[in-house]
Amino acid sequence: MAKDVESQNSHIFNESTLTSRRTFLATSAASGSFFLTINIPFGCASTGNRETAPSQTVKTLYLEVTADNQFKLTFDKVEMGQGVITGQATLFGEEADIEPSMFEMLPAPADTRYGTMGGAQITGGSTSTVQRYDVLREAGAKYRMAVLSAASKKLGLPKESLKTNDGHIIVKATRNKYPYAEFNDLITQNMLDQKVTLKTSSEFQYIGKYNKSIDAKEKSTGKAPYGIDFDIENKLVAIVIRPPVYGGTLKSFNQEKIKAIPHVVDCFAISGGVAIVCQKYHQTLKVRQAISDEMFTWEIKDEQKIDSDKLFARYKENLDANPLKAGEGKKLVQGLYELPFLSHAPLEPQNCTAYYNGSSLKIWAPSQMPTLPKNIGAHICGLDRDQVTVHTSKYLGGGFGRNTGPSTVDAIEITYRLKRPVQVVWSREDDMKFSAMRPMAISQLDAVIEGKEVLDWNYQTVSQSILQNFIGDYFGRTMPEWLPSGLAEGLAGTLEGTMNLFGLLPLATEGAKQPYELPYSVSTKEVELDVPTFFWRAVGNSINGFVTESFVDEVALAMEEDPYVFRSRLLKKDTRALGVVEAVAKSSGFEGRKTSKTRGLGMSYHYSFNTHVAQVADVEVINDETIKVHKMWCAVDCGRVINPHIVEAQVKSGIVYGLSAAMRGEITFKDGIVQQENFDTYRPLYLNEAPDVEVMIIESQEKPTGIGEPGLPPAASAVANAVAAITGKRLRRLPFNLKQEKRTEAH
Amino acid sequence: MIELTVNGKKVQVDVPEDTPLLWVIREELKLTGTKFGCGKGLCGACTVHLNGNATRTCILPVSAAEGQSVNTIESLEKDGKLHEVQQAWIKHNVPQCGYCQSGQIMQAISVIENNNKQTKDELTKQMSDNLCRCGTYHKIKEAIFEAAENMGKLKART
Repeated sequence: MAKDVESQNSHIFNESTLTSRRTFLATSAASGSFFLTINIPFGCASTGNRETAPSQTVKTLYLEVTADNQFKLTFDKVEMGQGVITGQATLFGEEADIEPSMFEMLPAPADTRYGTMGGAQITGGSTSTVQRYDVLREAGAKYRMAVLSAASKKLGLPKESLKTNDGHIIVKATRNKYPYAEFNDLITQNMLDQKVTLKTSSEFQYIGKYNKSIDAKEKSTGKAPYGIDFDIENKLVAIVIRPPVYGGTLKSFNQEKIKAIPHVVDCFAISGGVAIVCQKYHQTLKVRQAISDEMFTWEIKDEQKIDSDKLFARYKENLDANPLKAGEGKKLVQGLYELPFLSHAPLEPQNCTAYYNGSSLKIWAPSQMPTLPKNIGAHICGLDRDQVTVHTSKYLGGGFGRNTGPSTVDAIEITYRLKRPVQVVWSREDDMKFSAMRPMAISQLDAVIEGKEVLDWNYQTVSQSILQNFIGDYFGRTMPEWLPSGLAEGLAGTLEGTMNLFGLLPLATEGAKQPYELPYSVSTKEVELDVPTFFWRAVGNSINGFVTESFVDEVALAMEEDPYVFRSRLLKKDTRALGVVEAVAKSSGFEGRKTSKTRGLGMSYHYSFNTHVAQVADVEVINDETIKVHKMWCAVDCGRVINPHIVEAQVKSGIVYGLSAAMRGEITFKDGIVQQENFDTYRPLYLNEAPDVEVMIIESQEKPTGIGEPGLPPAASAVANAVAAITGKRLRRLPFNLKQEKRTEAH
Repeated sequence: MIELTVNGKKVQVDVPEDTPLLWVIREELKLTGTKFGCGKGLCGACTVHLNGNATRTCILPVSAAEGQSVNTIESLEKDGKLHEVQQAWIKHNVPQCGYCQSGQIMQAISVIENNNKQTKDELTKQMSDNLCRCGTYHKIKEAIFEAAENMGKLKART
């Protein structure tokens, strides 16, 4: 049973720690514990290109060292499989000389003090290590220095005669060991304020080396707590019947008949649809069997009854069909790419538990953005934000950027009415049909070439805004009139922070401009639909990794140049980009490759989240229709690596997730209804379908850059490029279908 | 009242007999290590051992387990010692988000223990119906090969 972590964290938010401008604060408690409060300047990033403005709010992390030498470290970045729990322990533990698995890691409750984007606490954009690299190392070093000073004082020995290891002070001469906790009550603020020097990389014990996931045991014994596991006394469980079509609204429903179904405790309308409340989730399964369509009347407009094929045609109308013209002696290359809607489909379906007791609201949610429900909860229940507590589950059963906002709103609205704890659980069908999606997109690339020169490179894309729901759900739709100054500031800051994070607006074109020396022209048209959209792993790069890298091969082919030679030539000014391309070419034997009528290699490169990735795919085409990816080679430069096994795992994860989408992923609409409901109709790759993957991590002393997402964008194009080399067929539509008919007119 | 043995203990549950065993385990017995992923037997997150065999509980009515023996992920640790498969899972850092891993482990144990020596290909094939959205497949293979070998159940390819 997942614990209520509130009581564990309540002490850290007393006023004295909040108002202190000190970066690191020492506090002792009657319990004998020592607390290190770590204030994080807003916008802290190890890339060093952000200033800490004096007006920015300070944020807080903490370490508790108990009297019996247990180390409890809060982690504010949500652990959803990308390994930040191990990464954060490694960073702090390196400088503090505490072995990473010695930490008991405690998830931080949602608080704007952990905000990295204008007060919004968000785990995403492959930024956790980037944002915490400097501050956690410095905190660890400060703590170690303070313990050394306290030990030196207590033992009456000079600091030079002492060393630290595994959370213990060791007297060099005698080898006597003392747990750090022994000096808890002697650590003073002065000791903590001493100047520290961080370790050099030759001194690292853990950074770049620590290859154990500190959460592996919990996750291998069924003990890891997820949002859906949360339990609380007096809990009710609710499902929500939603309009079958996006944009549709509830006109009426047969409340009497539904309430008469066995085990239904209550039934009423909420903003998301009709809430049906039971005591247990298994009772809701029978309720679903008992309800029928006639019990609900939805108001659905004709234009909301969208159809995927018609949508693609409509999107195409927004493109300039021929933006470039090739003159005498020049050649025009064109490619029109089509990508579908995609669901995130993490294995844990959306869920949220909330409890409004009349004067305060508590929310427990497996969310990547836990501060935003605080605002929503405050608005819905008419409370001050301080009366709303949001706990992130210690673990999320996958995230991939998905929006858990709707289930949070469901839970808050239901508990507000019933004043009892309510857990809303979405079925897999709910999750697949009604979760915000990676928008569909049409991208067209045009290039004019002359000999081996690219004279013009024009990129157009048509899709929905990715941010519309991020802004709308959290700030617009749910809070139309309420905008106190604090929130307005937060909104502006969040928008700005998000733009800074992604570096480009709109997100649809993210990744369209790569480090190649090309005369880029990039434009985008936004389409408005009622389909909710959100960040899907790698965001705009999930589209542009496929589009741009496929077209790179098309252009190389048009000028009769080997795709590796072409890439090397155009990346020659970017040594890091060139580095990964050369590394992957070397390990895969790309230069000496043989291509047959059924087997061959394809190459791709993509730069995203400040990380360079190059991939080669070994593909077989069977019977002219089945694509089998035997192996992928991947070279990655993500700067300094903290945990090598996690970098490797994230690359493989990105490849499997990206290929699942490329080979089979699509959410389609017919009469406005999503056609995919479960893993039979939206079928990701299973174990026997995943290619072998060989990862080459480029050694680097540069600051760490992201790894959660960058492995994904180049995967689809590496495969498409191999297929083109083998069959001569250029696949411009995802998911791959060698027998595809063109959706729109052929170019 | 439906009686069954769960993790070695006799339990009685007062639920309709068509209640999926998954929800009896999670909601009535409060054993949350077994997970809900799809509700249609497609992902394997709900896998337990029914009379020692891997079984998907989201689609199994509790009546089918009446009088039978059910073991969940929580039953594997004995006197502080983890199962060989769990040890291999930890050694190889298999889990990423971890949500599918209880099911993966229960499947792996059943595959190894209920068969004679098998090759790596045979083991791979039998793990190919359990979904992992994080893509830990490469690690699952490493871990199950090692566990099978340690348990004397790995056959070299001839």
